[in-house]
Amino acid sequence: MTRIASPHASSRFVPSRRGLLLGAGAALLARPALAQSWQPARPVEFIVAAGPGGGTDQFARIVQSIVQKHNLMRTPIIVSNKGGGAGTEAFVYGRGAAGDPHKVVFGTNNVWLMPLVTRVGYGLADLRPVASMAADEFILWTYTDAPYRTAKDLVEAARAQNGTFRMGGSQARDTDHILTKQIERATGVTFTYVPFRSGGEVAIQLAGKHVEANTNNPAENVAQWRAGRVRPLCVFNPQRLTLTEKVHDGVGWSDIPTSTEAGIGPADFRMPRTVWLPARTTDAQAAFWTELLSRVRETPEWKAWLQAGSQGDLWQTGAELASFIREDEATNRAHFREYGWLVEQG
Amino acid sequence: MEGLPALLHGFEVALTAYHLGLMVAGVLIGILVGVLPGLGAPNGVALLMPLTFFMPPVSAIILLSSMYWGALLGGSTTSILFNIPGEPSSVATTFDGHPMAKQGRAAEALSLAFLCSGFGALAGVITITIVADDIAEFALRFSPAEYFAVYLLAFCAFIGMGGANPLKTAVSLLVGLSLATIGMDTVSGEMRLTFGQDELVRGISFLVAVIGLFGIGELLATADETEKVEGIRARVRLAAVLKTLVELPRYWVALLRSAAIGIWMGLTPGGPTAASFMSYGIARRFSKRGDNFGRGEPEGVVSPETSDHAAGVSALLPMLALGVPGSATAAVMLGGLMIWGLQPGPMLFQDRPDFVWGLIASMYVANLVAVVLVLATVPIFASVMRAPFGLLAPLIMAICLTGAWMVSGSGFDVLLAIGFGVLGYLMKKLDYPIAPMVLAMVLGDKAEDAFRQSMLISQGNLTVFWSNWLVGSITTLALLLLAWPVLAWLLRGGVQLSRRPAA
Amino acid sequence: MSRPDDRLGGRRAAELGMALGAAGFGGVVVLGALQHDTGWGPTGPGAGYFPLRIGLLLIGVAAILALLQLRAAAGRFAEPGALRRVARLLAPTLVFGIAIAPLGTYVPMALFLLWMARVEARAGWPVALALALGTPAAFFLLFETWLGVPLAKGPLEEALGIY
Repeated sequence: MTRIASPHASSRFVPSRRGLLLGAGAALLARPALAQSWQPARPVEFIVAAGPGGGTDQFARIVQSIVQKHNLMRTPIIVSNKGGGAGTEAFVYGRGAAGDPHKVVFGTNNVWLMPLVTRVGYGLADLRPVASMAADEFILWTYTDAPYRTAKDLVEAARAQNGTFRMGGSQARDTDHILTKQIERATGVTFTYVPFRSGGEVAIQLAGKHVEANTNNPAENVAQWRAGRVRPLCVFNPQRLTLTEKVHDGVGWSDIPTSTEAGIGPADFRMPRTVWLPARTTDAQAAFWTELLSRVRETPEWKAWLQAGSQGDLWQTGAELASFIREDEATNRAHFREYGWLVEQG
Repeated sequence: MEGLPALLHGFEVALTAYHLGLMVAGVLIGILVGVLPGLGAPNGVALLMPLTFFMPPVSAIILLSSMYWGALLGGSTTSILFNIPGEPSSVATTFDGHPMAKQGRAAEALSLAFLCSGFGALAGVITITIVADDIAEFALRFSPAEYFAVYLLAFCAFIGMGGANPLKTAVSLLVGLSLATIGMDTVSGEMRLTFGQDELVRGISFLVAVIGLFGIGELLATADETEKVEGIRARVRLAAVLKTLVELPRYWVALLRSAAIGIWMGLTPGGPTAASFMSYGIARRFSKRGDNFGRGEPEGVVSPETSDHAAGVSALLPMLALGVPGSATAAVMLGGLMIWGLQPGPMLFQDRPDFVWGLIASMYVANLVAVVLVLATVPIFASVMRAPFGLLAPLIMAICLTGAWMVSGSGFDVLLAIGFGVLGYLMKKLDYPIAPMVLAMVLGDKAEDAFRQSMLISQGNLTVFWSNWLVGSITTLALLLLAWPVLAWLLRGGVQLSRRPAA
Repeated sequence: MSRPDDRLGGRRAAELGMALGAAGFGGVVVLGALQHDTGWGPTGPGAGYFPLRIGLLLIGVAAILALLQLRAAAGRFAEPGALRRVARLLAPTLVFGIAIAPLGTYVPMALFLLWMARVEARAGWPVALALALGTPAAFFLLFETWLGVPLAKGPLEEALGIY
């Protein structure tokens, strides 16, 4: 197979090398896709802050495939998964790559939430936010023949059970756990939160009635819903979902009441999907990636992916994104202090 | 059986020239990936994944699953010829496969391994065909307590039936369980046993450990024994294959038992690695030729190979039907499924019958293709063994260190692999079994999670492990296996156990 | 215990050392576990619950193994000269392994293979050079260009513009 590979070797690597040696100018002007003051000169690495298969992994890989399909960039893209320590491995790696604009990190809000709850080898200052591209919805689910018809019923049943009501979620002190805590804050009940490894596992456990509820993302539970094993109670979004497709028994995404309609809190809980560069990269380099991602966002493939997972469109960049992160971090810090989760609290 | 017309439709999907071409390509890449240590089936599938984005999902899954079968067979090849398992699941094949090769029976060992793999795969895919409609309901019964009981069963089976000194097996298992706790704790989100080191945050990869313990450790042990390794020549002639095929029915007990173990471990989340070990252990305990195990006994190749493949094949069923992967490779494929826009789950069988049954039909064909191809290409890989050890050892060492680097691109992992190599050498010299440690590293954190989830759900009540017939019988069986050495000692008047440590 | 060979490469000493090493590792696990909640925490059994018990069990089992060694028969751990052969393979490997992170995979690999082929295996220059240069080249083609897996790069690769 080495014989097959060798022509590729020369065609793939020599031009980029020559481009570098001759000075970037001539080579870059020839590129039609994006006229920018900075262009990647080497293969780019997309670092996924999750193992293969989950939502974050799909996020990075869909961006990669769109960039390649629409030829938005000349240099090849390598996707590598660094999901250790709930994604912190990727951010520590990003810290080590300070100043290198060829390393792009894909994560969620865990970038700024993980340092609050556990000892990690990086700080928020080690990464530069580029864009937030989507927001994953959270829905309260129960199994189909459960006695609760509405979210309110479920909360009252949990109140009566006095803390033994089993709420499944993926990972501890991660989004599902934070949302569970916020429901507790808003309603004054207590759940037994049972952490599993992934949303898929939680979906099965709910379908098998081993837990009584979960707060899975739409994509994680839709197959079980379609099979009629689980049903949604409310979505944690001020607006109802827009997708009108009927999933099971005449009920569809847009029929799910919002948490405010259902009379429980919090009113708004979503998870942004974010893209980062290492610290000490220049504004021009960040601008290149912002521009590239905004093009990705306009493609039909991207829209189809958002819709397939019932994810919301959330486009934030630059100062707007930075201030959103600051506020969200401060709010969560205050909440976590209340729960005793902060790392400095021990 | 309502599956039959669906299966016939599946064959229509699978038996196109394009899909047959994908099967051949997938199997060949798989054999290569399986032969190279450190680049196992999970990595291989992950590496090929980007190529599949623009294929129809059924073509993509046929390519990736064919690669998986090739990797399973490639792993067995290196186990037998070099005593280096290319895959964790082919570790048990080294125990008797390599001694057979050393005795000049390499061709017999290889054809036996491949034919048994084929048999195991066939048994697995027939099971899938039959139970596909009912499996989803059954697997939903698995709560954390059932999961924990299954893991406990795998651990206890090692101590009770592994054949090595039970105390040394226990040490190996406990070290593996300890290593598995390093890094982030799923339940509490805390960093454990990292002592402030960033390198330890992602935990210790069992792939790195396997490369060190088996690859590097074996090289050091070989250097210890002699400067020369007997050149194991393997040219698998058609006559040898046919002879083995004729002799195969002789092992019908082992074949059926191992296939059953493999299918069970694949459907439950035990996976091929645990299946092959359990099958080997049980064969060693119950076979009439049990005393020959470890010295080149053909049944010691038949048992793990059949189970390994049966489990690998049947592990795809819970992945499709439930989204719970039965093996590491199935877990990566599960990710692919979602990227291709499919929702794994019970409804996949109704919504996308062409996908599901195309895959199932392709498993019949691709496994046949894989066995034929691996028999044909073995001489290429075997010819490497004719090189002198002094040149071969550094070459394999370079492959091992590169493989360790590739696991996560970290220099620390390379040093860790060398450290595991020294440990593996010492364990080999002192008769500590290595396999339990690897199994414990793979299943350790899952077992711990399942235990803690069970305790949360039952509010700390241990009777949850006997709360229904399913979990109760698994737990009881596990404890009986654990007590087996003591029971055997009591039954035989306490002679056997006290002699064992010296052996 | 009387023969010098027994003291250096003695089986009993090695067994004892291995058992004590395992017990020591168990001790480290227990220490690590004690930094966490080892009882019942807010999310069930705490983070230290499992490691503490595993560590204590390990210490216990290893201690029994060590005690059993005291009445085991003495024997050889390794044949004379064997440990030397192991060290002559292990030491260059260790240097190679340490060099990968700063210098990349390719240069240390070529030097390692050249050393092993020339000095240890006493191969002729043509064979040694073919092994030392051919292997990294084959690795590059296989992994970097065909499979798309990046290997470690060092200053030489940087200077050549191969990334």
